[in-house]
Amino acid sequence: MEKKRILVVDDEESFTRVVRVNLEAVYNVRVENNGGSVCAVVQEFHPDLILLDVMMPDMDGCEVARKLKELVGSKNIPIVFITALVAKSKSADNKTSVNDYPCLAKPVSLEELTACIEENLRKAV
Amino acid sequence: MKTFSKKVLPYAGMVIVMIVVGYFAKQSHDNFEKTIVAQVRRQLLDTVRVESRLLNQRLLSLTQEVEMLSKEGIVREAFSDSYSKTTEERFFFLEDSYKNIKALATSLRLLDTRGVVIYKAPYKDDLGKDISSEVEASRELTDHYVPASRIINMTSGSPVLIFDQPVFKRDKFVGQLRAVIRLETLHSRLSRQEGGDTYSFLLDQEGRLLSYPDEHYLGEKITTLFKDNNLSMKESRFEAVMERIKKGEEGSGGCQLLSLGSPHKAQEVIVAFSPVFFGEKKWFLITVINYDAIARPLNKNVKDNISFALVVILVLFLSAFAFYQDQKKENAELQRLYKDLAKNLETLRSTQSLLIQAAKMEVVGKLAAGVAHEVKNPLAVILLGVGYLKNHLKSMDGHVPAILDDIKNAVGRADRIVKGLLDFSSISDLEKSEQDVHEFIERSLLLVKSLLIEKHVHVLKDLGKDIPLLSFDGNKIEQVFVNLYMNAIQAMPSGGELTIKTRREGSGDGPSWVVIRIEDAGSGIPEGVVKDLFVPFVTTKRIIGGTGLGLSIVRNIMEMHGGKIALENKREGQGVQATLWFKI
Repeated sequence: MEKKRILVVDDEESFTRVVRVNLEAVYNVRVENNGGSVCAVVQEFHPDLILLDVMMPDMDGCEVARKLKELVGSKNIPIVFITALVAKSKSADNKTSVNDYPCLAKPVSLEELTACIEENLRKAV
Repeated sequence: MKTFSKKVLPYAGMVIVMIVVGYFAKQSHDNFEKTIVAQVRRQLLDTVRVESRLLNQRLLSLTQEVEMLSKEGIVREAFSDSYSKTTEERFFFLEDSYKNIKALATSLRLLDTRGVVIYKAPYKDDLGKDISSEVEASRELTDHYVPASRIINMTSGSPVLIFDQPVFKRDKFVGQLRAVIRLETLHSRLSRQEGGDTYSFLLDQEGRLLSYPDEHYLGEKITTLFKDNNLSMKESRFEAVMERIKKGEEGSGGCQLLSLGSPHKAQEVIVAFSPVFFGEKKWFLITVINYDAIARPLNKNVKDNISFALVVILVLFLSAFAFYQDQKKENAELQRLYKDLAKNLETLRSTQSLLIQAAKMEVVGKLAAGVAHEVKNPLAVILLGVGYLKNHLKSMDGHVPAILDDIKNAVGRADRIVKGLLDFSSISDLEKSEQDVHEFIERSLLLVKSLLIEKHVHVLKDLGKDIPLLSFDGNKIEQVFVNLYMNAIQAMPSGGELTIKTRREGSGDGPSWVVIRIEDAGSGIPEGVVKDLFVPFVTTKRIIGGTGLGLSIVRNIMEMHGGKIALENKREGQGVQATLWFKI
């Protein structure tokens, strides 16, 4: 059975690396540290779920999510935000985006992470 | 006292003004009256002086007339024969003679040497009557004594003033010419009466009234007049006037005399007196003016002036009262505005303080958010790294799993601190609305319900009935209550009572508060820690994961709501009392 594809997007390379090594035994994991490249990677990789950071220097996670919605073939890909911003987002736009998608707060344990991924993969089927 | 003074002073001021005005009006009136009275006295004296001279002149004229008449041939001829020879024709000429003195004398008589009336004009009633028995007449007839005048109290009729003149014919005494003036007539010519307020009378040296408006007293002594009317000469001050009169002085003065009307009443008068010389006799003409006659117009004037002054004062008083009322209203309005202003200023200061605090918290918030992001990312790497290592590290060392657990726990604690910092810094984002604080007390209790049951903590509530709605951020205040409940529960590990009381306190001009007290029955706070309870990161519960931020956050939330918090050991019994004040 083919592994589910998980795209991990975060500007922190150490974070994407540790996520990758933890998940790659179960999932086909690809990491991306540049928000602006996510759309291209999605079109190429066709992930089953995207773990998306909120605050990134070139393009923030909310903007990435909006663009993916507009892309044919990617709008139904489940996205799980994973963010260090525990406090409420300050812009209404961001608040909507976070509310629309499930969100994991950093630091997240491996158990919480895998449970969340599995849950959202099931929902997407 | 202040309010009393404010109320009474204007009225007292008006009374003082009225008294001062009244005093000066009285002074002015008295001075005016004195001036007028002095003028009246002068005028009265001038008048009495002129009239006394005139009377003097008249009496002298009458004397001369009688004397001249006695030497008239027609008079001497009248005595040429005895009464029996008298014919009407003889006296025809005498009628003309009488007409000459008619204006002065009441009657004219001729007496023969025996004292028989041989002629009388204007009436013939005494003709042939022998009046020699009358003392004075007898003496005159015997001694040819010629008195200037005398008063004879006639047995019938009024007292008269008699002017006798002996008549000689060829140096032989043939009879008497007698002109008679009835005192009543004399008075009617002397005593002018002007509305009863002014009159004159004539006294002789013995104090007899030669003329007086009341005929009853003509010829009587003036003492009789006083006595009859129960008026004392001394008390009426007329005695002093009489003494001056007897000395022959001219002058004026004030005293009491009897009114003319019936019954006679003592009344204050001004008198002016002047002597009248008549032969060897000295009479005194006295003119009287009723003092009231002078005072009446003055008093009327005073009454008018006082009425006018009262009207003016009343108008002034009403104006002042209206002005005072306006001022009072204005003052009340100003006081109200001042209170509003002070209240607004207090609100402004409070708001300014809150804004400054909010601005500070915003800066802290931004800093905390940045720090949180930067800290949480490495924490995330560490935690997931620990997870990886636990699955993949096959170490011979048995401590590795425990150390990995320690790292995991340490990450968890660091994460709680960051979370606390974010809570601490997010207080500036208040979403306030009017709410029932009791509802949030209950809602917060529900959040810790399982813990209350677990720790056997029983809740006692004593909630006030008059607690108004308060403006607050429900989530933040819920956080406050939960924090304080948690502290109370943790203070009673073996169970106990958690008491919650709410009261409305403060009144009058000061602020009103809703005061909430949350009490536990634990062992209390160590004395050395009490002063640092609200300092961030100071905790007595580090062992059980306390970060030391809870009470700092609670205090910040209260201060951002314009409220206060105090924490202290209970004065009675054991435990801690947390008190929250919400401004109404």
